[in-house]
Amino acid sequence: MADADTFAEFYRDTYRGLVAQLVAYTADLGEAQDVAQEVYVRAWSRWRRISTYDDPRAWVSRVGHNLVISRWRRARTALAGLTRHGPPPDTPEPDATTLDLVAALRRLPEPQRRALVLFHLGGFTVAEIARMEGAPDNTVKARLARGRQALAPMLTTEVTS
Amino acid sequence: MTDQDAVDRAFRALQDRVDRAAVAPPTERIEARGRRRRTGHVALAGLTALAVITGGWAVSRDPGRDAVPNPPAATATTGKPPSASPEKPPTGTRPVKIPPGFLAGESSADEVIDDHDYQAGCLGQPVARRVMSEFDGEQAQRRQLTQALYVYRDEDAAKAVMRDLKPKLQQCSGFEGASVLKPVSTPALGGEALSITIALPRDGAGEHAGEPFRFLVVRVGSAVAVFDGIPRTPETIDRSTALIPRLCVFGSGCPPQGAVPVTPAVNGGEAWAAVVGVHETGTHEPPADEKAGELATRGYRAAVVPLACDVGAAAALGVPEGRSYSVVYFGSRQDAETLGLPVVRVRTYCL
Repeated sequence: MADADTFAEFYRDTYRGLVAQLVAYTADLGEAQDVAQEVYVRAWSRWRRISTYDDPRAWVSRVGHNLVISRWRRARTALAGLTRHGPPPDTPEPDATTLDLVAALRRLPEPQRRALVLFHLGGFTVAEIARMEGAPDNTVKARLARGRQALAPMLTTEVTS
Repeated sequence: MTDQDAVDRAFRALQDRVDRAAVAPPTERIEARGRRRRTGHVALAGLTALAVITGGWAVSRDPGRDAVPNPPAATATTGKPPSASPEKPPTGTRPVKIPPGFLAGESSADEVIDDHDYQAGCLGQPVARRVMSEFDGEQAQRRQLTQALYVYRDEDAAKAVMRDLKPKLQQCSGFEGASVLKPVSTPALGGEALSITIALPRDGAGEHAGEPFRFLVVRVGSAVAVFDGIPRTPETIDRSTALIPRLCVFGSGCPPQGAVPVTPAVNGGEAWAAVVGVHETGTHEPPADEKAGELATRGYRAAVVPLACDVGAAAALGVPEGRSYSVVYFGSRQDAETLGLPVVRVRTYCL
């Protein structure tokens, strides 16, 4: 079935990228994977429509972000994972670099943080981020530049210390 | 190494770590979960099988007569007009299915999911449930509103859920440990209600940290509705204001706000049928629009009836007799037209 094939391919190709974005928000790999699974369940249910989008990655990225900002949904997702599939597999504790990066990202203004995550972990271009954010390309470029500028000393300080 | 190198290195390290540790579950598992959710069929829990509720309570008809309706020719002239008196809900027809379009703003919602994942430790074992979310703007994190509806087997079960929920309301809001701005209260909404407002903590994606988040739970009859919004906005309140009156269908019933409908009681009786919708062949599911929800708000009950049981309906509607339709009956054309729906004159059978 063409729909099933294209979904499976999309899922395989984008899963880790989405999880990486979600880890950048949550610092928790297990939670990021729970949320990612929920995102793909929703994507599967709507695949006929989503597959016609210019970039379905933007959809999963947005929905993943939406889910992450609601702890209530997160709790429900985790619960469903427990009840339906048994306990989640052991996930390694986040390493210091990841924790530093997540902590530093949280200190940035939200638009800068999103732009950095989408660019560096989502693999989106400036133009794609601009479309997702509803902002001009130059605004996104400025957010990336300022975000990197703000992030750099925080990371080097934390690495040094 | 420059500062900018450190930025690139940190992102690469995170991606590498995810690439090493994250394992995508088999596609089949994702598909199975999606399939379960898509299906979302909820049994009618031992209630009248054909009485698929499309608003208010249903007029029951014997499902056994479905396939072989009374021959109209034999009875058409012997029936009496249907009763013109308002009816009490027939015993055993409490609605347990959530009509399509029932939630406030459902037709335009970004997501509507039946059989959604939920916290059983907080909301018990509903027989039907639905959640809908609305996102605002290109980036949905700017605002999101959520309504969830849980329907229980009876009112006592719903009351028990509220009783158990009260001491753990904050935990069930998903924000255990966050600062409480307004402690648990019992606003005068529906049959009973619980509310708590907390300050959103800086976690997850960190958006809206410090802003108030209200978690509102309202019970009416056998239904429990949960409202929340991030951040809290007037729309959260508007949605609850819009939905709560509709919940009367899960309670003692909603009184009709206009012309009083009738319940056909006699084979061959004449009635004026306000047609909510004609169903696809082989299904009793009503059309997926907001009409049923709107009718429920106005206190009108609809029954799902095989067209073959209502002589004159199929011909007037121009559809095959093998299908069913959702219908509200009245004693006069004038009354029937007050619903603003197509009206046909029928003789009712299969009673």
